[in-house]
Amino acid sequence: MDYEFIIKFLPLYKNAAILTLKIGIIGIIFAIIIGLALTIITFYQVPVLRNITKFYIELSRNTPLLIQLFFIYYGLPKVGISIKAEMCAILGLAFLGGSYMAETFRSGIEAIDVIQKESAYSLGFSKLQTIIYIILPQAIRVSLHGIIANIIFLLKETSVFSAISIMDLMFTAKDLIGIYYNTIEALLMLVLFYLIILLPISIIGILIERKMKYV
Amino acid sequence: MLDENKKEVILEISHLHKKYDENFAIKDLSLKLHKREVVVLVGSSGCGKSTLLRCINLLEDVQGGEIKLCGETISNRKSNLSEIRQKIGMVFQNYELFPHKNVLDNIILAPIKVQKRKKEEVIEDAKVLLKRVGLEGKAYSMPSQLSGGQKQRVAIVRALCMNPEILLFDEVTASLDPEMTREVLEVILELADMGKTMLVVTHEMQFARAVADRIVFMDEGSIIEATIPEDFFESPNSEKVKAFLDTFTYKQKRK
Repeated sequence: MDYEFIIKFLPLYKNAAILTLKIGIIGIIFAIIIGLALTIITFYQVPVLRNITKFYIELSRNTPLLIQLFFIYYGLPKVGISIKAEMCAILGLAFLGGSYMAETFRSGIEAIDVIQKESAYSLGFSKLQTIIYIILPQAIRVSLHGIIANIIFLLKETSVFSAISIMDLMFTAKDLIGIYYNTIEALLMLVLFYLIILLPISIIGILIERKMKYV
Repeated sequence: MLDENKKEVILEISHLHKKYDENFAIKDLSLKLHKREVVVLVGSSGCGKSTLLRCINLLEDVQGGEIKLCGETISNRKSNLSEIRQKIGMVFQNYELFPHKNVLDNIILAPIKVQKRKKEEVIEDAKVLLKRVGLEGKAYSMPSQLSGGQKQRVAIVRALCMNPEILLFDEVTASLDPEMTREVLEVILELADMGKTMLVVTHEMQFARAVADRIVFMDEGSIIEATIPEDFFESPNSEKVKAFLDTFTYKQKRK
């Protein structure tokens, strides 16, 4: 094991991890916003938009992120829109994540029985009060597991960004292997840094879920 | 509002029609409930009992006739629904407690958020009521930790804590085993003794006999017979009532 190599390139990995996390977080925030918007469209059965939503969800879930990225990265400039690689990555992640989030939120709301709503109405709660105090708190608890799973899944998917020359963790590792042939060290650090990013999220997720159980 | 006999009328339903698509769920139904009166609704499944309660509670629109609560027409209201529903306490078959709130919060949420009452005052009321139904030790339990009978008693307290004019019970013991059924029905009997106005849908005939001032038998959305319990059980007029009561007795099979 070449410890000198590891220490020498640690800062490079650190920067790559920060970039990965930055793109990941922004992309995921957009994905959650898209997901919520689509959930509302589906919930209120908005005509036309509802059909577009359905089409988007199927397209987004049934194509690989790499292909989606290529369409954005190589396709958009062909129709006159040129954006930076980082922006492409964020767009791609939001495009993929939006559908996953939408499906997770939908299942959360659908899991709450209609009669809970009626029971709240019977006590005199208004529509808004019913959503705020009764439906949403239950729906979020139900979908929490799925939301956290989506976040972890999306952060892992960032590893394909190296394909459009973003200096993320994967790109850094491949580059170092290409230059120095220190395959084991480079890959070991790659795995370690992904764990450093993802393990805390998993643990926080488990803690939140445990706290939110109805006991 | 007083009627011709100088008795205070709480609920007055006149010529009510309720349709789902082209089928009548309730057909030309009229019923009056006086203050402190307990009316028990019986009839086979699908006869419109539960639908009637849902109409009273404004969970359903009606296609004809009207429902008056304390002299005010409430059927098909589109505004101030909350104001009316506060006067009507409803208890459902499957309790419908809010699973994310503990027992006390389930009870006090509506009085605080809807009626804007003081929290300390509501908590005190809630604890008195919980004690009365034998659940004073369960105030901070979650619904998932309670038995079915306990949940239903909490649901009754939750409705009571709003100080409604009338209480509606929709087959509240249908998902309980016999012992739990008993503990819930005793609470309802006690409420009757306290003089609460109640409309009770049930399949427990012995209980119906014990609690009712009047028994109303429904079939295909209409009232077939409405009379005092003795007459209903001992000398029913209609063949349909006789057939219905027969379903509760079994002939012994001999070899």
